[in-house]
Amino acid sequence: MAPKVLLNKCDGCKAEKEPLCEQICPGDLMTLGTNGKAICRDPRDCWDCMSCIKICPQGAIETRVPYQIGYHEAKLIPMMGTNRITWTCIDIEGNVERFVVKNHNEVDDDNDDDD
Amino acid sequence: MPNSVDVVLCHCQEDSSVRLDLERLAEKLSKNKKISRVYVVEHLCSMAGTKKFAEIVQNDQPSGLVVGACAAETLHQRLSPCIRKAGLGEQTCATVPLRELILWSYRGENVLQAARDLIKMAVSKIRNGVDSASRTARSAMINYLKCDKCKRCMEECPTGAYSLNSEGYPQVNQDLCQCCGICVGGCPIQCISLPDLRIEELSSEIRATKGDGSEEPIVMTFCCEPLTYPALMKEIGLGTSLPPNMRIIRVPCMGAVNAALINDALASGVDGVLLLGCEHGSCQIRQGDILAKQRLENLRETLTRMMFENERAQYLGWPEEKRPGIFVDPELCNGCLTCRQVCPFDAVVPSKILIKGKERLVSERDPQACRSCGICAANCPSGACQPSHFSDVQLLNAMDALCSNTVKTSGSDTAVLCNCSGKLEQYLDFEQLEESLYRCGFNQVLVEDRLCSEHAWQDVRKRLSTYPAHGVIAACAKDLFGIRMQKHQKNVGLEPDQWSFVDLWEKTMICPYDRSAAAELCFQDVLAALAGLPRTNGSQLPEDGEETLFQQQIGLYAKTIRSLGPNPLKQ
Amino acid sequence: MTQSRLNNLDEIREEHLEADILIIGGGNAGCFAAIEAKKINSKLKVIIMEKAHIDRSGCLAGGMDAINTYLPKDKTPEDLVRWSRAQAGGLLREDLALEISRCLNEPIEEWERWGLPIKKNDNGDAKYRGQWDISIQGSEMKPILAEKTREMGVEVVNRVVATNLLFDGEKVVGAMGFGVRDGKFYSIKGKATIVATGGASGLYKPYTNDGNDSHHQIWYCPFDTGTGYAMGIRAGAEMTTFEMRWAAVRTKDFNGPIDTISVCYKTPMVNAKGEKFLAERYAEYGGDKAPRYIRASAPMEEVLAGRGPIYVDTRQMTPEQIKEMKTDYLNERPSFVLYLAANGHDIGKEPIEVYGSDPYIVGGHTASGYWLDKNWQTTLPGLFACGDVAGGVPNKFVGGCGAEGLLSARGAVTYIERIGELHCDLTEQLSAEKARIFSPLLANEDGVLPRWMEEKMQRIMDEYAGGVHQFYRMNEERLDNALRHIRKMKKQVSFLYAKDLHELMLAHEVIDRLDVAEVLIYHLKYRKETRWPGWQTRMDYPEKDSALDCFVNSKLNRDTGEVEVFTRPYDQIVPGDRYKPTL
Ligand SMILES: Cc1cc2nc3c(=O)[nH]c(=O)nc-3n(C[C@H](O)[C@H](O)[C@H](O)COP(=O)(O)OP(=O)(O)OC[C@H]3O[C@@H](n4cnc5c(N)ncnc54)[C@H](O)[C@@H]3O)c2cc1C
Ligand code: SF4
Ligand code: SF4
Repeated sequence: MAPKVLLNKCDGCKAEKEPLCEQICPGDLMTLGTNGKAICRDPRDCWDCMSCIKICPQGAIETRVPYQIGYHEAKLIPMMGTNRITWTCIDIEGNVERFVVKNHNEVDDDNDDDD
Repeated sequence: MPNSVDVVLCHCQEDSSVRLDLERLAEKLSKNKKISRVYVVEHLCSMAGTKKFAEIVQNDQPSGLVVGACAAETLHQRLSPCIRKAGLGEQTCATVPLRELILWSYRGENVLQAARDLIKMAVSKIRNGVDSASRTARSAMINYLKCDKCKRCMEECPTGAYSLNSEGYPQVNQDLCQCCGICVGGCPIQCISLPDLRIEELSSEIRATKGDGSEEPIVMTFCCEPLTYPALMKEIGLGTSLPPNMRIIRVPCMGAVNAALINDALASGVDGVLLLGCEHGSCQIRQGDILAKQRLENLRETLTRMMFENERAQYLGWPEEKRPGIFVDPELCNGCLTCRQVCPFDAVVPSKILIKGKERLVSERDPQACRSCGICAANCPSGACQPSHFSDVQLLNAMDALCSNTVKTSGSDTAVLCNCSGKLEQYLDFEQLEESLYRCGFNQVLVEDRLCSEHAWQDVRKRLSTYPAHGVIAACAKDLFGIRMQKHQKNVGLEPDQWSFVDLWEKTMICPYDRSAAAELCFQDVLAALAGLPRTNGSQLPEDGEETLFQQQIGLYAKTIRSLGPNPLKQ
Repeated sequence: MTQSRLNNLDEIREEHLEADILIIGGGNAGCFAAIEAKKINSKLKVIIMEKAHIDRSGCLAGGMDAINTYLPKDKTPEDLVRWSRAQAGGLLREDLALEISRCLNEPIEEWERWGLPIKKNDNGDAKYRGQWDISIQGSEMKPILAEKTREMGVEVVNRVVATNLLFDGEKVVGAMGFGVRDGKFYSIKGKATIVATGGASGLYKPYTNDGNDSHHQIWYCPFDTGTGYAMGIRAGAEMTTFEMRWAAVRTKDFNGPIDTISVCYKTPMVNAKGEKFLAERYAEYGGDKAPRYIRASAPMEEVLAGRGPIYVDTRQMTPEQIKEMKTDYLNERPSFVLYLAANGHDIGKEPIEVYGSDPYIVGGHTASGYWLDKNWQTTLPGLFACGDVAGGVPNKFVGGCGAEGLLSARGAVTYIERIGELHCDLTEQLSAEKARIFSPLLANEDGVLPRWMEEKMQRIMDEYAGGVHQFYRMNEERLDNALRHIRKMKKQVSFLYAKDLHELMLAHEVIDRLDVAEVLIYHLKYRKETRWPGWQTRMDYPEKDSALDCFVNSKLNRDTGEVEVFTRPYDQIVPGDRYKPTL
């Protein structure tokens, strides 16, 4: 699968030599293009681990399913909180599903319905 | 991590018995397993109250503390020695302004629930805090275990306080850091914090919000310390009520609000997130609002793609109040612009105006830039610059009065003193004070209970024999409640503009062991106030029936959120 | 910044570092090894050499939703070994497996303290979803582990690809490699070296790969390319049980794990006729609890018999279960949820189709990898191994790999106490390796792109060495064919050329995979029997041969350049029938 960079949102990590998506990709796939925006150098080599999407401070990357294995066009968008992720999945018919998933233990974990 | 948290509620006599049942609140809170003990203490700010507080803290040795009371500075100053003595830091102790938020600003049935919600938020915040010992720095701190050197902080810091160390990590120059939190708000992996701004803490505070149990949407409102928080408090003083489930989080600047916090809020079911900051860059922390808006726009775009109503997250620009500032008399100004040379904030604007048919160069002030420091006034050779409330004449009058112990009376000068439900007389000799005031020329001196309530003012109205030309109100917390009292005054038909304020309670507490000395101190203050020191607290009361900007804007926002229905992420 | 082609080798800058313990690969096992070494002696200088960034590298990049082996309170290490032994068709290193089982829960308990959420039942104990596996919410488990690694004072060198080991005579004294970002030549000396580079993916052509968009639509981490094995192979280390390949039933087209569905939600596999074929046709192996290789081969046999497609039947699941299952995927392979959405697939109404994956060499699941002694030392003195790269113990998964991290670190620390300071002259090795590493940047542009060679290798392996397109089947003649081609390709690596540092990395990945593939073929040829149908299906020897009830090991003879294959006897410690999961 492949990450797609939304050019209107990517700010190239503010002229950083090694932007965050490039720093994090386990496959060394993200890099800065000549336009100062991130690109995936080889979309077919992406494992869609979604690390780049999770770390991008601008929310500028989306994962796309290649047409070979999926239809046009579904979305899966993570929104990162401090210790939970909110996932929104929109299928090709436009149905929306949402998931809020804890990903880090916190001190006050459980709901304290005291009274 | 503080795991034994005490809650101390102040049983302030004002209205509370009517609207908020403290005993029931305490009972409910004491069932919460995250709270170790709950106390209700009368008048925390009094000697007896403070003593009781000190005992509690000494005996329990809690690792965290939440005080539910009024937000008066007084209280904070009085309690902090005990807090420090017990080894608790500022970060392990939180004050919830129960009086302002609960009694004055929330209306309706669920006041008790709302109070409980606020206390629980504070408890969560504290439980997720770190020990104050590790927070001695006075500037931004970076967690180098997480930092991945993306350098966004360096790019965005408005004061250039960041540089890179030899390993390529950002480091903060303590002298340049103004603790605005813009780096905290921008850090993609949330690894920066300020001594009193930690994302983990705010996040747990936000997540603890459950609302008052009604259908009303929960709105998380971020207010900035310099502008919108005080503005909001004034609004509350005026009697504006907040939407029932609006919760306030204080941050140094809107630029300090990290997107992760907004995400947390939305994920935990909060219906709306409002960033209440300054309007177009008028902020003292330059760029804070611009960055905050940019970041929010980005988030809102993501929300749109998520098919999530992006109206739920909004920025509201608050127009900066024109400060009383510096008054320049164009007739006296000779256009020398000495002021321009000395102004540290570059706020002097030379301008040409017509005076008596002639065009002349005079000095004016840029109200956004001027910080009313008065340096120009001290240097003005022609006496044209005057700080609005500290003019030379006012100062001289006050000095005169203090030296001679008399006022040039107008024949109807009045002092209204607040005895705070009979509590203050323990520490202050009212008789002596009254006597001194009469002796120096006051026409009427009235002692009242609870001036912050309207019925006290009705009483004042009845007791006034003559309509005063000038008056002094001596009570507590003038900055915060001055406006509230003005409103009450106005409601009973007194002209609020002619009254000055004195912090009677605070002054008394300077020497609470000697009633007579306290009376002497207070006497001098009341005298000076009448003779010319600050006449109003700088706020204008709105016209009758006029909606304040706040009411309009917040009302509109609350309406939008209400029309959207509950947050789809609410579980 | 990406470096482009070179004019000569002298342009390359060098970086030489020294450590007490060098760890190659900062994945799950590598990070735990580093932390453990620091815990034993905080004064030790520990360096991790990582080709990516330890925050999100290796198998855990996207997260995990389960710890597949975690010892329940009422079970003993022996119980686990018994189960694992049966799952692996009776073959495993019992000595090592027992040691791992004894400290299996340690890394996970630590992880939880550091912040990893583990799902709990009402008593507050870890919630078991199957017999041995517990559910976690691990989408951020790698960043949590990485932060802890740094906190312990471990030095991490990110974006440096290891390519070969350093030797002082027989002893391993570190490794060499190159920086994918800075383009430098690296050497890192270590008194002891721990290899933890994970397994090898991309040896075989995945059926999803149409040479176009879905090249890495595979189950195992495509960035773990078997370098750890290859470095050992080239240096003459003894390798074990490569022929026990890991192939598994995975969701069709996406190649996503299905344990989440079948174990956690007890959804049975059915064929096109709706038959629960495992229960019906494989009852003797345990039906739905049959060993993993049976569960991998049975569906493919169904397809061959004309009863495909195969599904896991999700239609009985309640909407709450479906939501929970999707949440599990979001914690492990989030894009599977996207894949379902992109196919408008409502799993409450339609079942999920499954199919076999391409085969991988993964020592965390099967027993392939370095042959180890009881201190987790390989046959090369000074080199230790842990995680998917270490051989002998199947069914380690996340917890077992982490536990091996601890064990290998303990072995390494004891070892360096013995050997003292290093004094050796490495000049010759360094210059030879530097030339080898950077030659694709100097090579003639009219050469071979790494990608071409990779695709050719994958196709050859698929066709002749029992890939998924061949339903994992092979015979001697086809294996010979595969070997011939792989050898030819190995001779052609000098034609590999790279345009930038990223391609240089790809070039070395394919070079390493060729070495692994060659040894794999030798192993497959040696085992003239079918011990694990599916993982190793010899059409010419369809039965089990009791004479081969032993470990098949191999070693490159560095003098002749030949791979020598031999056996090692089985050593049973835990009593009981080796093919039965319980007593
Ligand atoms: C999709 C998937 C799902 C799984 N689900 C589960 C599950 O639910 N439960 C379970 O228990 N187990 C599961 N596993 C198995 C488990 O994750 C692995 O067995 C285990 O994490 C492997 O750990 P490791 O440290 O050996 O490898 P990794 O964690 O992959 O670490 C290898 C590291 O070496 C680095 N490296 C590789 N080559 C080089 C080089 N040349 N130079 C430098 N560094 C290099 C890599 O970048 C990586 O950081 C799953 C695996 C996968 C792929
Ligand atoms: S992390 Fe986001 S903003 Fe930064 S370069 Fe990548 S896509 Fe652009
Ligand atoms: S999804 Fe993962 S593999 Fe793909 S480009 Fe992003 S970080 Fe790299």
